[in-house]
Amino acid sequence: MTVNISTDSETDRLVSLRASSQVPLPREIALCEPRDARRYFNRLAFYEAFGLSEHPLVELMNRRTLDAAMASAVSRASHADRVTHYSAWLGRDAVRVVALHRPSRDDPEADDRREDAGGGTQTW
Amino acid sequence: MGESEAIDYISGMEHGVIIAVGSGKQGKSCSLHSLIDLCWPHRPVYMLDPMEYDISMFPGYRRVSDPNDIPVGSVAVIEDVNRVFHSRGSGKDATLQRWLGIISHKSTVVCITTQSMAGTDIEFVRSQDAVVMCKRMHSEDLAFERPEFRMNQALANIWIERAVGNNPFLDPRSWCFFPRFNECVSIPKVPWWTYSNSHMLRDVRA
Repeated sequence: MTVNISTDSETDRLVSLRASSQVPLPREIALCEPRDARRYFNRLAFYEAFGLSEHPLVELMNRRTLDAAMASAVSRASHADRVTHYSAWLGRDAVRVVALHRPSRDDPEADDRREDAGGGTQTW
Repeated sequence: MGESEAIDYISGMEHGVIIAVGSGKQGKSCSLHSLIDLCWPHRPVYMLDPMEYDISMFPGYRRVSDPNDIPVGSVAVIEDVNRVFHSRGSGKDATLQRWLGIISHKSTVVCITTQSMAGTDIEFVRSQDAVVMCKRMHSEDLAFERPEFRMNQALANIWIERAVGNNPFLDPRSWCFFPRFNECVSIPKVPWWTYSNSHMLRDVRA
């Protein structure tokens, strides 16, 4: 899927503020910074070559590397913008869902829909 | 009302443009007319269409063929707007610009249905307080939507899908997504809506 985003600097700022305060980011998102990603995957490849990738100490080090990458990603403003844009798009969970009509036992169409799993009337 | 920010805002609109957009037979017209009934039960409603067709199935509605015949304070409805105002047509014919420019003076709300913003004259969202109401759009149609509206439409598809899943006893086509208000609303169908309403343009020559 292609996503095109058109914004201006003010929208960027608002979106960043909003996203950073509302959306918990996965740590792996820090790896979209090329330098961090290269270092991380080089280290992963090294331990894999020695069959040590499952070792608890290696896993601990990888987690620490990710944490450090995340912290440095957030501290770099331009990259933080990319991170928050991405998370804003993914995590727009603040949408309100409002059903203005409630299903009731007296509603014949709702009864039809209960019987017919396909749902919906043909009058739209 | 109070339940929905979008419905409250639309109810308070003196002038503006409501755009119902979505693929064919997703309930655009029904939701739009239901919205009109819900928000402005006492305002006169005029169908703006140069074609002659029977509108007796719309109780209380009147038909006009010229925007200048729409009285002050009315709601103007244009079904499948591309038939009446062609996409990119405002560059050649200034009728739409002249009319939309003064709907704020005439307290007119213009309500349109369209299957894609790509085929709709952009003048509708350019000059007045436009509220977009998204219905479901098929992914093939979405690929040809204008980039400015594509992301909102993709979000609409996701949220409508989710709302339908969480409310299996409500009609799936009653759900509308209002990007401006970040709200997914199920609009109750007007009691007079029938098969003939949803196929009102069956006898019209394209």
